[in-house]
Amino acid sequence: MTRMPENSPQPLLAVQHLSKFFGRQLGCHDISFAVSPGEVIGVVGESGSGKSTLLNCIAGRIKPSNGSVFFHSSEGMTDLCRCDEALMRKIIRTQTGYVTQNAAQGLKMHISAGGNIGEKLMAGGMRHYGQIRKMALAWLERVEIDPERIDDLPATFSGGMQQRLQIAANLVNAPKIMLMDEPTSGLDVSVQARLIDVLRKLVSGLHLSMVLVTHDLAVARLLCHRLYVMKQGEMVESGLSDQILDDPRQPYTQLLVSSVLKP
Amino acid sequence: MPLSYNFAYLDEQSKKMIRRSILKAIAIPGFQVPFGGREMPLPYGWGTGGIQLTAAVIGPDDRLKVIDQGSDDTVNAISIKAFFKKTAGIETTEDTERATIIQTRHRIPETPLQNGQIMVFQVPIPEPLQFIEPKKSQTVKMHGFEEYGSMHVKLYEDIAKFGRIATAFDYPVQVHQRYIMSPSPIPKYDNPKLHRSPAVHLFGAGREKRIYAVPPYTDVVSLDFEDYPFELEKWDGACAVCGSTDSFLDEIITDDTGTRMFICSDTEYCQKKSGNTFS
Amino acid sequence: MAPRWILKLENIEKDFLFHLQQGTRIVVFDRFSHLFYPGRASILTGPSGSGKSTLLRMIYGTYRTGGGHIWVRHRDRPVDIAAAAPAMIYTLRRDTIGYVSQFLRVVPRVSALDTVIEPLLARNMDLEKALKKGRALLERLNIPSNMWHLSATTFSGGEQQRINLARGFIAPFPILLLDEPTASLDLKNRQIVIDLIKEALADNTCVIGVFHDPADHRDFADHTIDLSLMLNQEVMQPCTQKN
Repeated sequence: MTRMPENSPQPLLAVQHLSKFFGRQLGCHDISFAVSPGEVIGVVGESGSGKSTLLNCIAGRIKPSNGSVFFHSSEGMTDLCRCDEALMRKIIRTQTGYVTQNAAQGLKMHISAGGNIGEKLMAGGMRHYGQIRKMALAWLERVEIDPERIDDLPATFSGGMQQRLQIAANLVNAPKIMLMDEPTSGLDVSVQARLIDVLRKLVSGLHLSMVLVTHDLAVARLLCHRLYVMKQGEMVESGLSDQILDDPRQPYTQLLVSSVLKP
Repeated sequence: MPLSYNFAYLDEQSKKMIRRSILKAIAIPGFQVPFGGREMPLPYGWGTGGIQLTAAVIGPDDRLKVIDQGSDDTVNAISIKAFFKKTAGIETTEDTERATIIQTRHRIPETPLQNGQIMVFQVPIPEPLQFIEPKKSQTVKMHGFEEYGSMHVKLYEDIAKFGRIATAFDYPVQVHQRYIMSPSPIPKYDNPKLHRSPAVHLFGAGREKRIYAVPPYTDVVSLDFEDYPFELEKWDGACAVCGSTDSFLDEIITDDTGTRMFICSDTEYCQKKSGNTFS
Repeated sequence: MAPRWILKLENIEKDFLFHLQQGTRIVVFDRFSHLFYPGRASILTGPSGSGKSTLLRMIYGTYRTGGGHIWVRHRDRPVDIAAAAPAMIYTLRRDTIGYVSQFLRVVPRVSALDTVIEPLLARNMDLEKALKKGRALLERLNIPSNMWHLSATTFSGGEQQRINLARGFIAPFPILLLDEPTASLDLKNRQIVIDLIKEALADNTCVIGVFHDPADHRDFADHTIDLSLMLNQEVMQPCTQKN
């Protein structure tokens, strides 16, 4: 990581004792962690370990059963689980980005690439077509998509391009934190490398915080400052990325790390 | 008037329910109020929403005008007039100035409306946000929290595709600086007529079971971009019948070689302008 | 006046518990203490498995310390790596402790030059200035200029190691940890690395290294620390050969 997170006393995001039950089914249980400005946090663990549930709770897409998600916004430290819904939606909309594994869910497939990027700008009140257009073109370039494709529908894009478009559409209004749910899964290895490279540059250039949910430990090592390991809805181990990957302590983490080819 | 029908077809309780929804709609300009839509003796898409509104507000002294595509004498317009003549025994008219209630699908009459008149619109798709967000649970929240920025995405797509805002009908408006509203399939040419209109405008969607309204003298502003402002369509020609250059014109192709002419879409206005009188 | 230490190991403990291998427990350090000083080179010796790399990784914060303290003088203030918050460890790694591992962790699509100058950019150095320093160092390490803009993915083992060394030496650190930096280098490049280490020492850097071949550190080593003797007492042997 090029830029190290600030030595900031106030975290940007603080999750406290967060739990989510789906009926009697456990989603995640008693999760607490904090993210500093500029810090990239990885949440690793196998499918069904509650990673995505946790991310959805942070993003306000699922209402947690218990606990708090504090966000440091212009309004001060706000508990997104308890504040006024209008404020919660405003914070989520203006200060967070959310990138899903399946680009078709994160993008509006019947709207052009430019329209997808411009949506958050227009939502933020920008009313000048020329300006929106200019920013959309600049962002396509930043995520390495040919600006000529600005008026094409995302459905005509490859999987990797769709994913990069999704990232551009989420970053265009300069959020403080990106929430990413398995952004590299389902992509070819070479395409993955490009996406990761783009992400790396953006994260360090924009001083962005990120919570990255992934089961790919190599991706986690490359992008994340710190890792949290989840198993069956519980956080079993946490530490700096190299601590978790090179000196795993918990049985489950050791299993996870030893199961992959040289992360 | 056959005794087998209640006045204006609907039973009094249903009318009461609809009137309550109308009052709520007028109190919150542009807000879509759900109502218990009734089955009407015509298919969805033919004006079931409008006809229920008319039935709920019409009284024995009202004079009803019905227009379809600007015309007073198309099948739909004549049938709806016949329906209310039969079930309410009221007087019908083609004269915009004499009408107290005007039910319409595609147009607002060219003749300026007056205080005391009621416009009833038949609405196929009441939700203007549907294009950007197909989930109803979400659009309700977007309205509630006034999250309207993405409405401009539709206009953006127009400019990107056609170099201008090509949306010509059902052009979205903001009512009373608050709710974004679909003005139903009227041409955008008619949008400015809604702005600060002295008449009451009621909108009814039968299939979607929604009522919304613009009370008299309410701001109705069409959405646009700073560098692509809202513009009215223009025609390079005048009405072939009345010579009007300040009304909405329909283009008619008159032969196989592509000869074309323009005539007023509002038939009543056109006739009046060319000096004809009404029966 | 006795010189001020820059790194102080105080009763450090480290064991590994392998849950997946019948719970095998390997004790590597048991209340080990040692002081390190600026401008001195300490060479860790001992058979493989005696904890040489483990100690470097504990100092760098990669391996968590089981007990005791690892005090580092950071901006004139002692900080315990064994108990430091993540943000402090990021800062230490940016400003105070450098680490050259045995192998370069190659990132696809990132050019050799960009890999090398990353530590400078992390310290907010101007890009042009960083590039200039990076080019000079790559030149010194005999990486042909037509390779600078390629990703190191396709480089040979020796070339990758020189990129790794350039990355480790480009920014000055008060403490420099070297894990077999000269392995897989030819004689000519080996000498360049030795020169780089000597320059760092002259710059008052505290060097702690592991070397495969004793010939490599003969020139500059101040003392060796034999970790195989650690559980007894006298681990430190002064080096007499230093000229």
